[in-house]
Amino acid sequence: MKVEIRFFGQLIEIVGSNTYELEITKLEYDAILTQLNKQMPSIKSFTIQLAQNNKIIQGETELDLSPIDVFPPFSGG
Amino acid sequence: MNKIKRYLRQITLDEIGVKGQNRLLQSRVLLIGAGGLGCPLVQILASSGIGHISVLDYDRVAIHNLARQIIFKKEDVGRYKAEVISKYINDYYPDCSINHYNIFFNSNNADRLISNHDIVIDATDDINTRYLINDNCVFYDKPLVYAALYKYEGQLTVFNYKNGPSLRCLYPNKPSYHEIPTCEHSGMLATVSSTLAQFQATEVIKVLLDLPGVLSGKLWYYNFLNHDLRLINFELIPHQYEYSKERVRSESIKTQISLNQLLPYEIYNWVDIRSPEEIPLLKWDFIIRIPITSKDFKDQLQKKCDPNKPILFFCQSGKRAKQAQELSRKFISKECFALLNSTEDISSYLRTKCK
Repeated sequence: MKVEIRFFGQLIEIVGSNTYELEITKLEYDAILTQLNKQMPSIKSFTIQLAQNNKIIQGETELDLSPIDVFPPFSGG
Repeated sequence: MNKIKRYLRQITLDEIGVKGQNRLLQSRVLLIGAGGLGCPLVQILASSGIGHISVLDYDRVAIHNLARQIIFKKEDVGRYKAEVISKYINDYYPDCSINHYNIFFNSNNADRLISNHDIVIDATDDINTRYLINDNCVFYDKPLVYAALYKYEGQLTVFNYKNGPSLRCLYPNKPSYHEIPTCEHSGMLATVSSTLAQFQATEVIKVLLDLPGVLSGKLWYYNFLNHDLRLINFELIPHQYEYSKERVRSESIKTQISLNQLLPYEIYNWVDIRSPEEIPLLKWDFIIRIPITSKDFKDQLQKKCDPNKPILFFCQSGKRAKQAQELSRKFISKECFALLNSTEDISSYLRTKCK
């Protein structure tokens, strides 16, 4: 199955795109993170937080096939 | 009466009234960072009748700041930002008392700065400082209004509000420097930073007045180019709270150091706090002698120490040095350390270093 990944902040420049169709076998947080790092190794070393349906997701969050937002922290001020 | 007239439009709001305005006039706000966010923040908060603002920034005004840090004028280039702001607020907003600190926010001055304010505003541009501020706000139980930006995108939230989540609940792992581009490298538009600052100031007022809808547990995200707006919910992670507290405790221990942890000896103010009759006498001419028992200990410290160097206290065993360090961090803005070695060891150490 596929899930849409949407990038924010400097990740857009690192990935080279706002969105990405991620192929996944399991609809679980860990599986998504693993696939993301595998298919997009350029973001592997970055601190990111994933959100779905406007909620930060973690290991135990129940997921659906809605797009997943990938946020880095910003620091500028 | 004049005050009522001055703030009439906000007093007219049902949620504020005279009572709310008086509360703002009695509030104490600590603003860390006097740049793209800090300048509009201090201006709007002072004009709204916040009673006291302490502004902290180690930086000086540069010519490229003038485009977005609109308090600063061409003549201010080279002056400390916090100092210029302080004068500006004194000139234009008589109801607001302002303190300025031309220093870095660090673990030595954190408790003195944070503990006597009602709320802390993070308007910095440094990721390490942001985590340090967060940890200290958790430790001292102060709400923290946070905003950060990257080019045309902004993030805003309120941490540690009524036991709400903190920065480490949102981003548990502190990013490394290479991950985070600074505004210096990525650029910044004045309208983005000043708009974000206005949103940040609104949250400050909401927190101070206990108004509903404070952005606690919600990350507000906005993209000023494509108008993408998100409100991302996140939750408290209790062990991250504990971790923040532990970080503050361990940082405070680092202010007690040994000879083998010292940087080159020349960078310190070496302050001997023993009584004059105590031996051995350390005869190097850079040693500053101020007995801890002196009535004017504080004044002597400020007069005799080089303000650009950290202070290193030592005594016969390190015990009194710890006391001096604890005492001084309350009034000295620069870093100060207690050296835990004996005077004999210090003497041997300096003999090998000062040939």
